[in-house]
Amino acid sequence: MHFTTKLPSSAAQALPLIRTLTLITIAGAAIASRLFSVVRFESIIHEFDPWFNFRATKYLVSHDFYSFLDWFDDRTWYPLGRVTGGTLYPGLMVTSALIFHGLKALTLPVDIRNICVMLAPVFSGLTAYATYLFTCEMKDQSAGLLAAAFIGIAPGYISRSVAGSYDNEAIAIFLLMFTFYLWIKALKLGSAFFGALTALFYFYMVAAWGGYVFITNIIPLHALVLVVMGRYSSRLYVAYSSWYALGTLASMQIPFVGFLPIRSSEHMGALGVFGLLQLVAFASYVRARVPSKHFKVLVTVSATSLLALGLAGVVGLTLSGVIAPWTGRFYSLWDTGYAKIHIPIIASVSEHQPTAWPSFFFDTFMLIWLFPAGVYIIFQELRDEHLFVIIYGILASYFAGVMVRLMLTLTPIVCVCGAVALSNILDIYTNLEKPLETDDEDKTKKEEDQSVLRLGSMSKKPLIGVFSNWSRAFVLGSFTIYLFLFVQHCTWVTSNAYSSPSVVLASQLPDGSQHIIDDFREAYYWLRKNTPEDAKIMSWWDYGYQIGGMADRTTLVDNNTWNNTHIATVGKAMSSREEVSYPILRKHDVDYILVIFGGLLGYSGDDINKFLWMVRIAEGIWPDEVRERDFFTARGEYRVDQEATSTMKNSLMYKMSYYRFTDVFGRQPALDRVRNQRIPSAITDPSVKPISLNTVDEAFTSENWIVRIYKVKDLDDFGRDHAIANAFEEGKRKTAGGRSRSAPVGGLSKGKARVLRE
Amino acid sequence: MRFTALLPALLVGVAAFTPPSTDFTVRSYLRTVDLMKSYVRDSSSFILENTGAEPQSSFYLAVNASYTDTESPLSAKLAMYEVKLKSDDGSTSLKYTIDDEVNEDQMKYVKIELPKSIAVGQSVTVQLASAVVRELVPLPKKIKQAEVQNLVWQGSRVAYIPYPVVKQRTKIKFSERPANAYSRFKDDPTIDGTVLTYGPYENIPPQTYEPIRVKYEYNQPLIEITKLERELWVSHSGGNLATEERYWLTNSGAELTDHFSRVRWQATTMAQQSTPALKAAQVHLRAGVRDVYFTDEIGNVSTSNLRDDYRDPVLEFRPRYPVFGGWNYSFTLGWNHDLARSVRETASEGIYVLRVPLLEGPVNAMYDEADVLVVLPEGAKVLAVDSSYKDMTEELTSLYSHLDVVGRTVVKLSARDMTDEHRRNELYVTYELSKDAQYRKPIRVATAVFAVFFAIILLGKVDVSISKKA
Repeated sequence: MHFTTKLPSSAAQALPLIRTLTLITIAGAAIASRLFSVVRFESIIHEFDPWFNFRATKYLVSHDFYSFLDWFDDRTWYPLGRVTGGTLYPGLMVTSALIFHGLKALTLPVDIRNICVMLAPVFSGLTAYATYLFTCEMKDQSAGLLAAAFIGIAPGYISRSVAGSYDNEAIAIFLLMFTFYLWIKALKLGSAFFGALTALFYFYMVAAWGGYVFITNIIPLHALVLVVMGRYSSRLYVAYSSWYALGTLASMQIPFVGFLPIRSSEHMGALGVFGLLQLVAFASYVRARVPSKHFKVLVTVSATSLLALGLAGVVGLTLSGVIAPWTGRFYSLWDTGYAKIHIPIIASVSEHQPTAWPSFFFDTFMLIWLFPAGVYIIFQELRDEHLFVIIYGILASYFAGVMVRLMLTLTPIVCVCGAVALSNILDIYTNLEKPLETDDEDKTKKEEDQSVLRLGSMSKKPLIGVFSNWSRAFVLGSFTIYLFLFVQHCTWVTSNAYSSPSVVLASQLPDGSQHIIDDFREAYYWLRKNTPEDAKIMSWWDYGYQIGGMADRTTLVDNNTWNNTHIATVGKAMSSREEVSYPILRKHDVDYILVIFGGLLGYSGDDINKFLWMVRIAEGIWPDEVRERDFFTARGEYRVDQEATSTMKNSLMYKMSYYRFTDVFGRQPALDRVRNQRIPSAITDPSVKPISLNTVDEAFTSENWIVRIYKVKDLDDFGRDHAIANAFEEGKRKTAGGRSRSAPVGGLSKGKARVLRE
Repeated sequence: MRFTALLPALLVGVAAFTPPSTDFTVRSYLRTVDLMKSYVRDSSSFILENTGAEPQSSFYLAVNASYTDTESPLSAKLAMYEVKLKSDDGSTSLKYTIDDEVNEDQMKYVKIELPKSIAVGQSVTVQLASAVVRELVPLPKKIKQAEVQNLVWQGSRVAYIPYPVVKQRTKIKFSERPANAYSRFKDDPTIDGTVLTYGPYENIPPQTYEPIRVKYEYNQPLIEITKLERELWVSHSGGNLATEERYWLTNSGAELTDHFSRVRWQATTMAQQSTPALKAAQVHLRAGVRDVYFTDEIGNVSTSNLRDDYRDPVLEFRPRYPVFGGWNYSFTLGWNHDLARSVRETASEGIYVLRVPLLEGPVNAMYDEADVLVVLPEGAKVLAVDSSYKDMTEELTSLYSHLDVVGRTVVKLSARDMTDEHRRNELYVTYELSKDAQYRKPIRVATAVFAVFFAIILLGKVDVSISKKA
């Protein structure tokens, strides 16, 4: 503000251009810093959920919009299927499809995959712009530019928006910031137009991400705080009413949301505040016409009765089931231990874990300590819109502490507050006004204190400033270093922590060159090309979306964890003995089982490490048949070596993971590189019985053994039990081959003995 | 199948055409059956003498009727049939037509036109080269993972010819080692290294067919490309010829009795044993190749290597997994060339000729179906399409891409049953592209962008506010 008035007019005219260029550069930097994975690997969809979004987008692109909304997907959750069109947020797919069709109309041949990969980086550029607008409303444009630069490269946001991270959050953070900007604008101007725009972008947000509930609650909270603080105004009334009425109606158009805005507890706050605002508006209307003594009585009586009525109504409707009670996911936001006890499936997701303290620093670097400073500065002025930042800051800090994933919503406000604080510092320390000059100009003011000076023509307030060049240089210099470090840290974090597609792994060869470990795609592509098109694949739910997206085969469970029982069924099949599992597999028409095994390579995210979750989830449904305790040794250790419990060793998962694993090592000890334990090997120790599988056959194992696929056997031709049939075959093979070390008869009896023992 | 093929022959019965066997006599027929590749190559050379009463301007040979039968598209088919007349100054290709009628021996006659007639008592030297795809079958059909694959070839120990043959010999060549099992006759055949020789026989009557079977070791994949889509994009503005080829491949060798075992496979590869699974394939590219890529339906495949030899660059690529018998794999290969290497402007201005190989696929492969698409720049007019390979259907379509308005001309050529040796056949496309057409697009795009900016400026000037603000 100081500069614009002071600069010569030609420079002032150039300012918008410089500002635009700066914003474009920031957007460019935001996009470029998200391209590590594309440069290092390729244009590929990352991780798990994005594969579903990608698959849904491909469906939308090849079908029309209505058949997309009506899409019943019979290739997931076999045999249940999923009403995909009605259970997803279509905003992301529709955005990509619109871009795709737009480019197609221009006859530009851009692959839908590339659009999906690049969507998040491009939207991060827009987020930078939205944050700029938002911060401009809070302080000024210089703070806005800083905030834009911060959000552009802050790791907390990059973590969810690198190229290939094709998830709802990719566009949702832009929508979040832009909706907030429009809300502030509507509130400041009291404009129904901006209120309607807020509703429009709120609608887009509802269409894009389940996190829209955050907006649904924070705007009413802001309005409520304003009312409570006695800051009610007609501007607030206009802005809120136009947003709530239009936004709620619009949000109900999304099939997945439907009637939730009037039926679920999460949305009741917005409705309540809407009602409250009508009352307040009515009250202020009445106050103008009724004597104040009567008015007080009127307010007390009506407020109490209305409050009681409203509460009773909400409680009554909740109890009668018209309004849905809070969901489990919601409770887990208040009690971090809740999920672990009641919904293990939610607790099993790593991004739902509580945040560790270092990750705040990791994701926002210096902004985390500028953040409180920014909030403090905002408190100093405390305009209506500043309250919004404070509320947002408090809520987001809490939620970010509860769940790692919600760091994402905290990051924008940290950037805004950090920018406000830093810009404030810069404003003061880069103000080159010299007290001496002022003295020369206006000598009559010389009796004023040295540190408090007046700039007669510039402002009426006394100018408080720092005039020592040393302190200026020191502070500015140190902050320049901080900014450098910030950029370096962000780049380092993005490059090292957030740019791995996780579908493809990279390793270094001894000569320093990069070697790509592509086991996942190897196995998925094998499934895609060499199994019947209607084959049913059973795997742990983590890999459901990837199998659907890359192998294009029917899965039993996937990352849309809507049916706990079905997941528990898979967990039970994996954690039980073959004889117990086989009927489950048959009943679910399973053709192939896919397990992830990292023991050979040292890939720690494998199924044996996730095994306890399978056990726990299965135990939740069948406490009598699956017991977590049975998988621990007597000393309470989770082991896979010689000391592993017999339940562990006989579980289907253990057998499928380590089947023939020891053969790779020959006479060397078979070391599981993830758990650093020796797998008992029949080659080195004759007393060990090699793992035998009776009901499944190894069908495919990827190059580094990360993915192992087993074919479920058909029922035996002679109606025998598989174990007996297998023992018979083995015995026959040994006798027929004659190469067996043991005598032919011994071979047979050995087979029988095995049957008896099992 | 057999009945449908037999039926017309029975109906026509006596009326079936047989070339007069007295017109010619074949002296010294030398035949070589090459079983070193995944398809069968049969090359013969013989001396044809006119022993008839009058000069002859054509003669007859015969092929297996099923080789040209269109009713069973995936049975063994003739991929190449080339007859050449050898003379002192090189050899000339001869035109031929395959008769529709099937004779009682399930053969079809091929009528070959001579450039000039042979006088009575004169003789000529003829060379015959043919290739048959999908004829070799593994025996046994299923093997264990570490077992060696054997193939079976069935044929005749003498060539089926409508004329008497004075002397004939059939050599069968194998790549690795001599045949394991073969039809034996008295003193016949003889073995010399990896060559099996039947004959020589003397004074063979016309239309003799003596079936033999040969079983031999062939521990390499039988690469069968069930479909190929080859696209060549000509860009004059970028001076680039982009090639993209999409393959659907299967290994038609012996299938696995059990499932795939990684442990055993690792042992095999460590011992560097040969295997009937497709581990890697090679593609010879033309010199000056740039920006080679190897991808499949789910992204980039990192296991490819370009040996960038100056004269003969070779792309070696490994599929994501070893492709065993009966397994499928599909992938995409692509690269760029400078346009100047393939396109020449003719003497008349604005008329260009594109010259490219018909195929550039992996070595030792056979093709069931191949589509070659040449995408010409927008506004180009096709004047002529010519190739040394004739057995193709040609179609002109158009395609909109890269901000096109009128669309670009696409020449689509479809062929069936080919081998990797068809890379020797070249494709010539002559087209006209005026200078105007080349400048039309930049002008159009510039105008459009300008119009958009202008419209935004105009719209920005419109005041839509309902009431004037103070």
